[in-house]
Amino acid sequence: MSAPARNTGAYTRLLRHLAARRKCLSVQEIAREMPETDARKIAKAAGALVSRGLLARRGAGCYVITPKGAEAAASGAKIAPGPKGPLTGVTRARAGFQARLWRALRIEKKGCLPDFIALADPRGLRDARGAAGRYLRELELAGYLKALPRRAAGNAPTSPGYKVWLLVRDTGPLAPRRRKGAVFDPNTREIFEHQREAAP
Amino acid sequence: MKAVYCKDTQNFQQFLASLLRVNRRGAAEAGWLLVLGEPGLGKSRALSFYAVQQNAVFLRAKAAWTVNWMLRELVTEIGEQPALRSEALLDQAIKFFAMNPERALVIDEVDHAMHDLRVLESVRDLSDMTEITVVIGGMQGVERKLKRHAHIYSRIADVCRFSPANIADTQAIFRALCEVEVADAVVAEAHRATGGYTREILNSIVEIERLAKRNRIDCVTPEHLKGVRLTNDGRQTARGAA
Repeated sequence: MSAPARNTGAYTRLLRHLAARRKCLSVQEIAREMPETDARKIAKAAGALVSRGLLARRGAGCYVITPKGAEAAASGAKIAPGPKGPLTGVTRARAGFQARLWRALRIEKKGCLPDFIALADPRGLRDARGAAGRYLRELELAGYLKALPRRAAGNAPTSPGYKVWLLVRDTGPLAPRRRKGAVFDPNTREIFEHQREAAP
Repeated sequence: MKAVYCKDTQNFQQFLASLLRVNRRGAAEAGWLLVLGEPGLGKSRALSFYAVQQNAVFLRAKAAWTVNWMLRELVTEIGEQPALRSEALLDQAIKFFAMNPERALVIDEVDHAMHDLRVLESVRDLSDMTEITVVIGGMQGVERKLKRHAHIYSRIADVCRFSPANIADTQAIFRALCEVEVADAVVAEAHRATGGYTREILNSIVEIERLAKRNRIDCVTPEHLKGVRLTNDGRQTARGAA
């Protein structure tokens, strides 16, 4: 017999509470009115109900019932944690820096690290160069990228120049993801192990 | 040079304004934006940046493109296994954009697609069915060629013309990208030497940075640039101090 799901009661209780109150309440206010549930569980439950469209978040940390949520509460539905819908295995395109880097690689096909970073737009990422460098290195080890023999000139006096990468395996629009010692490709659902580097 | 894309230029701002006009269009099928400009003005870079940021489907037109080749490339780009026949390929593309109407289609170097009008006509078929935004980029002459074909030109809701950077643009590019401090007169000199061509401005930034780092210069002034070649045009050297 499987263990009971955690927070099963909290999701439903929160939905019914906000349906009854019909106003925007913060997590702290809800916690005061629902002393049997601690604030952390309320915050987690609220986030889950927002993602299902049953609550709306108005401003920072203030939750209100939506028409869909009111309907669910009125019908006596029990809301449980877990998947929102059937697990189809379909991977959605992500919007993070790594996804944008992959898009830049696919568009440009060839270039240096700064070129790809500029197109991907770090958007305030603390160490964009480090993050991009690590991702490109992973792709190289997994056989997606090849460093060309000639480097692009750097401008510092002792700079060895920038590696010029060529995209040699373009499997599709979804960015390959790092795993330990390998890369998972959501386009083909394959795992590409790190290849041993060729001897100099 | 800093690894950022400078968005504060008039060309890019006009491009964004044109996109907004296209998205607010009245006629649903007239969702094309034509981006024109001479080589070196940053057109392709702007289109690539837009495609990456907005997750648009990006194609680069080829000189030998046929309808089948273009459609196969499009279907491959969206991550599907391309069918063999053009009819099935177009069907795949229509289904994809019908499910993803927020995704735009960007075709750079569209001049290459003008040799066989059926390529652009197929794009028109796709955009008519799905009402997606299509951004095409090319050189100046392509507008004149497109005007001869009213059934395609009428789909163009707006034309965005890239022009050489003005001095404010050059200053914005230096502020965003240059890793060393430079005097205003240096920016003015770079603007003069490059004629406002973005590609040449970027080359001049690289030269100035190299000069500053090798000679440990805190702030580059016109005196430092005397005899330095800022552009790929060998005749254009910096005038330096008078």
